[in-house]
Amino acid sequence: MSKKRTPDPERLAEFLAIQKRLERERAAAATLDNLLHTTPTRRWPVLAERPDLQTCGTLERLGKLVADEVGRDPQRAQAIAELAVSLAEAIPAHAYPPMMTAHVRAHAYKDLSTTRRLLGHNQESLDILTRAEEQLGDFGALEHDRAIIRFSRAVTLQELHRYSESMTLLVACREVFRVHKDERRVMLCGLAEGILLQRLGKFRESRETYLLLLAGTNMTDEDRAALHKAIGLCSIELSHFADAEANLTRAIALFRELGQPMEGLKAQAGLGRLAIRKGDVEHGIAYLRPIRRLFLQNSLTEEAGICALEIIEGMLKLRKAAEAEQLARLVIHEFTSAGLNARAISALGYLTEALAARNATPALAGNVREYILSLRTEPEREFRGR
Amino acid sequence: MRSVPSQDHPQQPEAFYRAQLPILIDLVTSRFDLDEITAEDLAHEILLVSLVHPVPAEAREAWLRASLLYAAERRSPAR
Repeated sequence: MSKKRTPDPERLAEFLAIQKRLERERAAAATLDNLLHTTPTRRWPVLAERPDLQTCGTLERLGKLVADEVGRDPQRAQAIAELAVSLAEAIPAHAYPPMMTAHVRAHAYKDLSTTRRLLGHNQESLDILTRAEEQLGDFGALEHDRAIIRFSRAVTLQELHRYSESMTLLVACREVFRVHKDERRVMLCGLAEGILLQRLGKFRESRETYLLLLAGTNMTDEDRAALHKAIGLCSIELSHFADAEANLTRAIALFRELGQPMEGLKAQAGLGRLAIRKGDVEHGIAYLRPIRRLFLQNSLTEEAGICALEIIEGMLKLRKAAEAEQLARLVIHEFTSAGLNARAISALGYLTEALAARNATPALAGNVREYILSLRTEPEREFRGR
Repeated sequence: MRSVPSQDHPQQPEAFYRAQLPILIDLVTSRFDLDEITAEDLAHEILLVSLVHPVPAEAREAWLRASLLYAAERRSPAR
């Protein structure tokens, strides 16, 4: 049982003073959104010179803004993250206890590395993560932060196909998160493991990982929907069609409840793929056509193109090469008009030529689809036609 | 992951500090060959870091203990 101890008055005073100071900084940081909105991005580096912004409160707020922007506008998220790193580096040496400064600097670098990864600069992202971890020094108390950074490293390593290193890190990080009762990140580690296994074509192991996660308690409805969709897609690859249908249907219903129609539509596209794989090709194509139209109506040109490639795969199974060629040319036009990745357009061109020569296979359509999907995380990847 | 609702930081900081400090000191001294002064140093550092590290209220005690044990392990081998 703990002895009744009176805390050292000076230490208690230090703790309360810092807590009060952080309250003030957090309140002041509430105006940061407006400041960034009204200051041209090219002038943000000047903001880094302002002492009133070189605070933990500011950096916390910037971290939230990066998290909010990173899915919508990675370029803007990167600019915010760069500002955060500049401010973090500018924090005076004795402004805060060393461990607090180390914490905020490490997270600023970690956020910057995330934006670099999402923009396809994976090696640079790793280099920045090294600097993030260096900020933590030997502080054992920051082991949780260290694991957060290493989790980011594991995700980046997957983008570089360094799967075994990624898996080693994920296993280690998950244990640190478990000990710290960070249930959400335990779940994210599991999700990353599932994705890694999918990338390795280990659909059975991937599905098992997702099923274990689904049995967990600390997840949002969005997580649950994403897991059902992932399980459904793995089940297609395993030819477990009943499981695939059940999980994709559940995902569609959850996304509908969440008010995420486009995510629901992606799961519906999975049902189209399922029909084609089961051999119900005509039905699958008929099912996918309106889905494709809805993607186009919502300016989701790439998703519409992916849908088209599923349809092309089905058409080739029905030996309708001429129709497939016509559709492929239409997708090239859509991608070009939307200014999408030139490499994706080249791969579509390769497929179109093969279709015109009447030697395209369903597998080639599948390869082009997988390649275009991979460009989301590796925009510089080369296409190897087969 | 960095969103911080109010419960991610202690709502009554002084009470939190007074309550947690002796528990954390005991935890260190019971598991490591460290004196009380060092244990108090470590506990104080962890409590400071908790001010900037967002942790949901339900996980806060576990986070404090885990972070403290990692810190203490670096200072001294376990018994």
